[in-house]
Amino acid sequence: MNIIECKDVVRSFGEPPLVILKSLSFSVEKGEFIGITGRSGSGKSTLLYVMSGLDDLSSGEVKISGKNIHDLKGEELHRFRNRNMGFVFQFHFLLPELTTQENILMPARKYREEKKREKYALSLMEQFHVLHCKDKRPSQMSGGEMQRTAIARALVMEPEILFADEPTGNLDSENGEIVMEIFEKVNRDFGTTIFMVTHEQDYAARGSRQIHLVDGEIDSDARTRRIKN
Amino acid sequence: MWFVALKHIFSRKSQTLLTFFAIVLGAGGYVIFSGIQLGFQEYMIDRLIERSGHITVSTRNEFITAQSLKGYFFNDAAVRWLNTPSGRRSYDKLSSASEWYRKIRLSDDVVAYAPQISKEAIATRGSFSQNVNLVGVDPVRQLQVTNIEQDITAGNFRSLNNGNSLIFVGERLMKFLGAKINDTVNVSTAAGTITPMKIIGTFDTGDRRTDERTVYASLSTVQNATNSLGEITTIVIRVKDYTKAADVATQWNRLNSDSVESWDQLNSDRLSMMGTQDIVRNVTTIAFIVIVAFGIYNILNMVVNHKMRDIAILRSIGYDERDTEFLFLVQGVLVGIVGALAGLVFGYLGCSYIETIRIPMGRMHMMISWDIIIYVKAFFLVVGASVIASYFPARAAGKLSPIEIIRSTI
Repeated sequence: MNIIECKDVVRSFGEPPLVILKSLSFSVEKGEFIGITGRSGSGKSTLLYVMSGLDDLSSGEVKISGKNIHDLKGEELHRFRNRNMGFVFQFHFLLPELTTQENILMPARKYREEKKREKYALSLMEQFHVLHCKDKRPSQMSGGEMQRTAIARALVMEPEILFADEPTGNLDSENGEIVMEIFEKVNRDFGTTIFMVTHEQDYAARGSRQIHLVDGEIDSDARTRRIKN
Repeated sequence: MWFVALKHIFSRKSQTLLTFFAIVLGAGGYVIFSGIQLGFQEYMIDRLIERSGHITVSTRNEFITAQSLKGYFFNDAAVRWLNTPSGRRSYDKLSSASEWYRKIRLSDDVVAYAPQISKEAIATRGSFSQNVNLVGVDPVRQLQVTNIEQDITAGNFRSLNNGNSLIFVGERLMKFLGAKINDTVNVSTAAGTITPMKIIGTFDTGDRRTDERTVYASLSTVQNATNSLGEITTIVIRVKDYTKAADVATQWNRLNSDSVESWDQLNSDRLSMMGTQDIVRNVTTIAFIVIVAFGIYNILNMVVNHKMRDIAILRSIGYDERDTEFLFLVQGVLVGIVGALAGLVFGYLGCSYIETIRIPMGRMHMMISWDIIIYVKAFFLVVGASVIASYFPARAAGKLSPIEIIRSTI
């Protein structure tokens, strides 16, 4: 069952247009762990943002769970993003005034579900080894702890898809490895579809599928292992 | 968003305190400045209204012009003046005091009235003398139309009726004459009479000219001393609603040859000066508020610039433009409301202190207006300024594109 369908996705900027994504078409099955690789400027991050609806399309279509993400407007789009998608960026983007627990529960606060999600947030903190940071602010935590907190925040609403843009790019190899283990566990245990942009060939190869972009086009699209359904 | 907004406010202590104090100073400054100015104005108006009565019927002064003589000579069309007529006709007494009394008693607007006779005189004691305005009053009626009783510093004003040639004088006049209570001064009038009069009381209005030159006596004392028996030069009237005094005065003025003026018509120059003061007060206080608004605007703008990453992540986890706007708007408004309330308290305390400062005029201390409207206006002006000053940075934050922020961060 396809959870994401991209059809003739084009993204260009400026005038005359600089085309970053050149008519990409592919689909993603539920539960896949896709690693997107490519050199700088190949369009990896742009593809991720266009697919998640954070960025606009120039032409084409992106459907997530059957819904054209770029046709959703206002409250419907924000609710869809809140319920169905999680984001992890290269930088943790934690709110500096909030504690770890408060940061993780921020998506739940949008619809006043922080009480309902509190237990789950604590279990995520425990699984990601940041429970001891529960009441700490980001400034009191290490880079790895902050990134693991950001992953917990992305997962607290139990989204179907996790979009990760260079999630290990700002971490040392030890913490990078921990993050990858978390992604594998999340994909395996929760069945979350993961769409991860990375420069690291080794990390990309740990997913179930690897798409390599060259100059905004798919150079290779290979399944590295079967996904569990 | 309340949650994050409060976290922002309390985590940025120095910025929050800076904004807070600016607002406190703005609201407090408004209250203190308005309190002082309006206090002085209220005092002045109170004096104008309560000391001299709401309406004054007095003898008319007519200034002669060509128009005054129209119809007196031949057919008007044939008259050409080589020297335009000029001059003044004045009257020593009201045209018909009894007719005025009848009219006043019939009016539903009138609460009380008091006849007066005013004559120029010279008060002498030993080698000291002073030009004075000798005012004959019915003390009981006078107390019903003015608040002169509040200014009495010695004696009982009603005692003026206890005999002939008894007077109340201003404290300053008594000093000028080197006299004290129960001393006698000689009062010379234009009629050529010199009447010894006994000082039975004093008053201090705070108005130097009045305190140096006014002498109160009973109506009969003044009428006898000036050979003007039965004459009345002024009737002071108190009406139910002093704000409508001008309407009543204008209506009566058309009906009689005497001059009828309300307290505000009589003091139009002072009131227009107060109008100018109001303009100055409004400009100054609005300047306070604008400075406060710019302070809030600048600080919130800086906060929005520092919080770009927060905005991006909030948008990516499902918060929309309005949430982002609200986040920053509510910060400005919350600090604005709390700062305005603290500013009102600061202003109140400031006014309370300033009221205790002694000055050599009026009530002998600074006069402060405690009108609740000052506080209501200060609150809404400051909170309004906070809303407007917060709205623009908040709207700018709402319009930020999360993807642009993320791209520029990476």
